[in-house]
Amino acid sequence: MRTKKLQLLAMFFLAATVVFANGKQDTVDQTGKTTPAATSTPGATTTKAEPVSIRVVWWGDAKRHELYNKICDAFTAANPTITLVREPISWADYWDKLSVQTAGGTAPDFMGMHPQYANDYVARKSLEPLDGYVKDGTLNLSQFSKSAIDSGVFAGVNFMVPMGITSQAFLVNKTFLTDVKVAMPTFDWTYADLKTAAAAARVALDSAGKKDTWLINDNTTNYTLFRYWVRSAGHDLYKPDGTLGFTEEDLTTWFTYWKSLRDAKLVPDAATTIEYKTATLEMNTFAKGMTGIINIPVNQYGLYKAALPNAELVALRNPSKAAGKIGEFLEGAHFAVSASSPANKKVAAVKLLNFWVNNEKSYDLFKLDQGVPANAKMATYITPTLNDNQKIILDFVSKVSKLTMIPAVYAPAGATEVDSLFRVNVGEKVLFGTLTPEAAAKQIMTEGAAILLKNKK
Amino acid sequence: MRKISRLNRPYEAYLFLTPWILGFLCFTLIPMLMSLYFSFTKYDLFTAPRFIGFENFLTMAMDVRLIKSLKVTGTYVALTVPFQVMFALLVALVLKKNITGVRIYRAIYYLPSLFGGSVAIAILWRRLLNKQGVVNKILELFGFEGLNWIATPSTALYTLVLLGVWQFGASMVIFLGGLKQISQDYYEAAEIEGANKRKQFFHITLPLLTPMVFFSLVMTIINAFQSFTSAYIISGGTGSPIDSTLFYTLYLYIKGFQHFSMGYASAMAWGLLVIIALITGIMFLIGKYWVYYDE
Amino acid sequence: MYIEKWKVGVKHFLIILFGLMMLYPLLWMLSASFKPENEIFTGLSFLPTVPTLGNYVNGWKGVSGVIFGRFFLNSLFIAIACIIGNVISCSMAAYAFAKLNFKLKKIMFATMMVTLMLPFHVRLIPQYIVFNKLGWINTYFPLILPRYFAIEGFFVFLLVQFMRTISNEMLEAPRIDGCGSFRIYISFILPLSTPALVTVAIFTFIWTWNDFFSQMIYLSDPITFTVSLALRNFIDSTGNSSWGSLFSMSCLSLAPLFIVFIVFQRYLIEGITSGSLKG
Repeated sequence: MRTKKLQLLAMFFLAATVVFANGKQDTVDQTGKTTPAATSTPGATTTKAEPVSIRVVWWGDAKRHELYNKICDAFTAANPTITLVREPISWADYWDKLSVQTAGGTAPDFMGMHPQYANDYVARKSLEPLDGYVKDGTLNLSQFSKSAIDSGVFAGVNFMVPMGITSQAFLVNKTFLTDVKVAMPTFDWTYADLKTAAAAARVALDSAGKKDTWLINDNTTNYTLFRYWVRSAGHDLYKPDGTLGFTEEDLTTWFTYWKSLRDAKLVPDAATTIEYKTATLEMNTFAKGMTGIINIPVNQYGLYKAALPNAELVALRNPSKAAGKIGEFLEGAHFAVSASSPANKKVAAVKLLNFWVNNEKSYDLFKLDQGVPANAKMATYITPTLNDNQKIILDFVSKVSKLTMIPAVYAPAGATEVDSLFRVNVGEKVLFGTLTPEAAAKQIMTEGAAILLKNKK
Repeated sequence: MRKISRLNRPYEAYLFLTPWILGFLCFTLIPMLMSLYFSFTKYDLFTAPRFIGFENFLTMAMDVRLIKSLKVTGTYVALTVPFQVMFALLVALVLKKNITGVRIYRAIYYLPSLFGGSVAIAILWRRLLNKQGVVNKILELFGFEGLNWIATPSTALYTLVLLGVWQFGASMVIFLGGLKQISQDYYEAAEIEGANKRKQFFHITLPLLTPMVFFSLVMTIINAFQSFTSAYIISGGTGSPIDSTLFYTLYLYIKGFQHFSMGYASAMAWGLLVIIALITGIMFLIGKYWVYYDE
Repeated sequence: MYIEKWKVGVKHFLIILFGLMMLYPLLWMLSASFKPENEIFTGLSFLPTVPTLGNYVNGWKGVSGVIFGRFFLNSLFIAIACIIGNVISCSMAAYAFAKLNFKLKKIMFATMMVTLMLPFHVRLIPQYIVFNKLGWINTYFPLILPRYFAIEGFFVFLLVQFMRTISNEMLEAPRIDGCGSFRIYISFILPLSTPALVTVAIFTFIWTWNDFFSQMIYLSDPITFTVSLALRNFIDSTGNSSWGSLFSMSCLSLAPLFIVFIVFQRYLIEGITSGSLKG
């Protein structure tokens, strides 16, 4: 009996080894394969194209993996000497993996990068400066607007290129508003308008007996939206010198505003907010019809339309404070190149980057996956092929980009910690009432400053 | 009869231990020493570690969140371990005989613990314990209005305790193995002597089971202190709400991988090691008095 | 007589009732896996209105061009390789600790216990650096090889506890006959420890099957992904999540574990050939 089991195990093992051995042939060994006589000048064109293989990493879900794989295939078709080893991963695991790989010296050659995290990597010299490649023509940014290029510049050096430009919008469920008999806000609405609308909605919802529905969700811990509040007051979250840009007054007024909404039951209670904090897109309060307004990066418009096929959705600007400045700015997800790769791989990665953001074949597939193409020519190129949802996104972004905006300051090293200080540490306490807005504001100012100081090199 | 003393064959022993010794050196000792070194440095994963002496440990002593995480973890261990071991023992006793369908029954009770780090468990648990969840619907039948168990600070941890206890299958398997190992001879002899089922349980089963109970307690405590996955998945990696689910290892992870304070995280890890070692040491000391080995 | 039958009936009933309560979340997931995607969270009934296999078809397509079957094979390979490693190396170490005497025994045992207590996150980075120097990143070696060196103190400890219950007197006879420790190990210890070894095998299988963190760190190429790693790619907060695929593939991935447990259970039932001095 026992020997029979062992035989079975042995068979399994043998069979699996065969499969595994085949599998291993597909994975290309990346470590330690440098071509001899690597030139130090970036972008030096080699007359004879030698085969090179680079590792490409991006975040997303299964559908995006499919899309980006196709783009990679298109690139390889046009550049047969460059092999792309694709390593897609989900957003939740992306930054863990990237930091472990970078620490261990196995950073991917071509990677997705985000302004929120970029400074951590720039400060640690993990990203390759791209100015040299722009100069010698490997990377063509001539069709990019200045603000698009600037979105990847840190301390005067260009480290990353945006795949798409987007902006935060307030998505309004018009059908929801009609149901609660609230008028559609104007493009230039204010937070006072929002409060009035929420109160009116509450009255209508209560009379209809819907006590688990609100006009908008509670944004107390929404650091992304807080940024607009701060910018509306004329400054940004951080100063260019790497210290905190928001003031104690910004914090107190913000927390007090949302507290007043919460106390009047115009926004969900704390427990509900927590519950839906980690919900995915199609499971959040807006997609479930529990709220009628939500702030989103506008390139997600199509996804929400799919989640609420029977509702009319309108993209609005963020509300501003009465007589406040314009808070909008353009942002996006970027691609960057690893600084620790050998020279020929860096060149190959830059070539891929160039293809991705400039080539028609790429945009045939990419369209508006991460926002509007930063390359103006490409934006015009794909416009006729866009569906209705995508046209709305395009319109919104162009409308926003025409506003005069105060410059956006990028997050310094340690910003992720400040982010979680606001969202979790202190923010949640305000949510549940264990900290007053004033005390919370004080705590964030002190601890936030300490965090940034600690991370200054 | 000549009594042969305990075998004293050092060379043979070392031969058997060779794999373990090699593995220990390469995969455990070196990483452990490295992490010990890191705990005395400021290390952000990208640039070289910078020596700062005991600063990490001093910061730890004053860290409000760390103290909170100790409280949270301690509560979790104190609640989960006893219940987990109790249920495991109970079910193992019920399911040890070969009644019809027992194999399926055992598999059913074991199934939850197969669910470990699955992403799906977060959503399932939420459906069970949120405001409109199944638990509240049942409470409604009895006229109670339930809270949002999973999102309220005062109750969130207990949902994790429930999750931990729900996954008692692993301990159950260990007990089943231990129960099987008790020779039927003892029971037969007891029957002959006229002992009833209850006496048999307390005088045969329980004493002979003590090595397994001991093992199960120690391992469950060690694992419970290191619990990470359930809190990570259900709170989305943040320990929300208000750090009520901030397990020690979750805070360690946040410090190391999100705040890039790897030196501090290493110090935290060694702190945890000391705590667990102390508790395990105490268990071994007490164990002498109630664990029975048939030697 | 009827009372007896009634007692048995009640016993079964209670076992099944509690069993179902335990299983409720999983049953819900099973049912959801057969519901069309838009009905999963909005549908009011427990059972699907129109059962569909769509989620299974979609889920099987897998991630980034690799079908799910491949992930199953990968996980299976790792699990079996680890089982073999654990069973051999841990039983060897446990035999030495449980039955043989040698200098430094107490210290080594205590050291082994200590290795259990260090949280894995901290060994992670140094281990990653070590494996990186060896060039083993993006292979299965970091996941499998340590198992051949008794790295899992849990199993050594378990086997030690078990082996200590094997009476020494029974082992004296072959000693007197001149058997060396190795013969005793092969012919007596291993057979007698079968229930515990099976436990080790089951747990190894379960843990490697479910472990996602170390797999996530060491494996980058989708073709090497394991089941738990692939499942994580169905849910993403920056895009649309494929709940149907997640649930269907989760159910499917539980199936081997379930089957393994039922099958290998026989060893727990049939027990050992002899547990003590018999005759």
